[in-house]
Amino acid sequence: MRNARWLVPTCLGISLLMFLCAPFLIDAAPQEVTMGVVQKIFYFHVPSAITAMLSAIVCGVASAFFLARRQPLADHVALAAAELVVLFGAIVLVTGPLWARKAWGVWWVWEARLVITLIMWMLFVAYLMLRRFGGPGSDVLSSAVGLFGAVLVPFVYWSVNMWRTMHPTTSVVPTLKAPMMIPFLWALSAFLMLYVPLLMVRVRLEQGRAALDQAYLALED
Amino acid sequence: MMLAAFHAVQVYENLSQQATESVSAPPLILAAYGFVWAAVFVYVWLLWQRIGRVERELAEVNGKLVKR
Amino acid sequence: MTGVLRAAWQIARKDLVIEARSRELASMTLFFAVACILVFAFAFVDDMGRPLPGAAAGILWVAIAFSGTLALGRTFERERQSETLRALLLAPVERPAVYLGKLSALLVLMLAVELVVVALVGLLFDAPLGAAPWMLSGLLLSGTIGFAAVGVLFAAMLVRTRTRDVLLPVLLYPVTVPVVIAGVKGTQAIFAPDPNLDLAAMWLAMLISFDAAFITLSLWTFGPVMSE
Repeated sequence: MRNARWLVPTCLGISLLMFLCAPFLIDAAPQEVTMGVVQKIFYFHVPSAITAMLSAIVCGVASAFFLARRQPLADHVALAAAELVVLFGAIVLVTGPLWARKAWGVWWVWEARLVITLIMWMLFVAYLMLRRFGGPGSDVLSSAVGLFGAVLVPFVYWSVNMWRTMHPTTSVVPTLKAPMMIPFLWALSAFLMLYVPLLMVRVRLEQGRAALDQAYLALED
Repeated sequence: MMLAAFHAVQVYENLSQQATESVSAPPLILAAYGFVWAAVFVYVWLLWQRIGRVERELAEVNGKLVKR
Repeated sequence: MTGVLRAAWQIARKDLVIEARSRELASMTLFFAVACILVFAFAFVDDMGRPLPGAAAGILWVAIAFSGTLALGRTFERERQSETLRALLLAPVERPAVYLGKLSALLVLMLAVELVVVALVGLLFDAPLGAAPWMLSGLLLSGTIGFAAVGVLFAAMLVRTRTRDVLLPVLLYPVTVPVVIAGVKGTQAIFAPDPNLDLAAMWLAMLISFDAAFITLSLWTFGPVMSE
């Protein structure tokens, strides 16, 4: 991690630039036929969802590593990734209803993808609560929770295809035409460029905390 | 089940027409994008604060250890 | 493999014998489930005193989930108080056996409670229990297995945690809500005025896939999580 000092500011800088350019690209994209201009929320809503699910998988993999090898770094990554699932998941759960209010006429419907996304978000909030209130040993316990959370991700992704629902199916994104695909990929890259440094910085915070604990212990001797 | 789904979509479409025409899109879009920016900035700021605090404490404690 | 099963049976038998003698868990869980049903029943009736359509299935599964959480908390609290869980883990028994044993005992308990609860729901809500008894039993069995599979893992995991009473529901419900939803949807399909058995079968298939995923995942993680 030492020689990666340049990585965090670089990624953050690129991400910021991309986010600043995004509104222009999104504005230039054609309006969707049935939903009109409010569909433009899609360009931030879907990349957030993708980032949140990616983070859930990162958490799951790191949790599995931690359970198997008990490496502190794996635990730090799992915790950082869980926090980011909550952050990006919150973005999805707020931008979605804002879009839905105009497109469907209601803030929320009880259908498969929304419900499972909400559940996945709650599960990672529960992960953080376990960490906060679970006392010693909660790093091991929360890895079990992280594993279950990661397993939910495929269900989120496929739930739309499994149950025929109102939410646009997963075949929409791959079939986007260029005028819409380009701003979408731009926004997605911006989000991923944001995710990596956030994860690294959060891991650094955890490592700092662990070092602090160690230092206090050394002080007491 | 197909009939039920079709009926549900009809209901939603009717709801949509009634409810969506009265709601204007731009405030919703602004709110959505605004929330994204705000959430990310708040999180980054909080991280910054916490890292600063931890590093200061660490320097302090290490200082004490060195003196010994 | 047979060693694991035999050990699991011994552990399950221990729990069941204790339960048969004291009947503590069974009576508590049953009473709590009935109380749940009554509270929800009062909430979900219309002005004429008739239950809302489709409410019976939801109330049934919520009662199962709530009383199941209670039973989970209690069986591991009992282990914790007598320090028998540590003894079990120290014994030369493979971890999967401990998990399977506790799971089996809890399943027997929950299914016994469900027999009464289903009958009560049928009575209070005029639900057509005889419309598709095998399908209904299948849904209840697979739903209970899914719930208990995760529950035993989390309850065991939290046994030494100070805030376990609060954390168990907080952790358990997000993971088991898909199971409960599938159970409710399937049961609703059966209880509907014109029952749709194909739809119920779809939900049953989904429940079975949840069970497979949850049991596998729980078996993998039980060992590493319980060893310090």
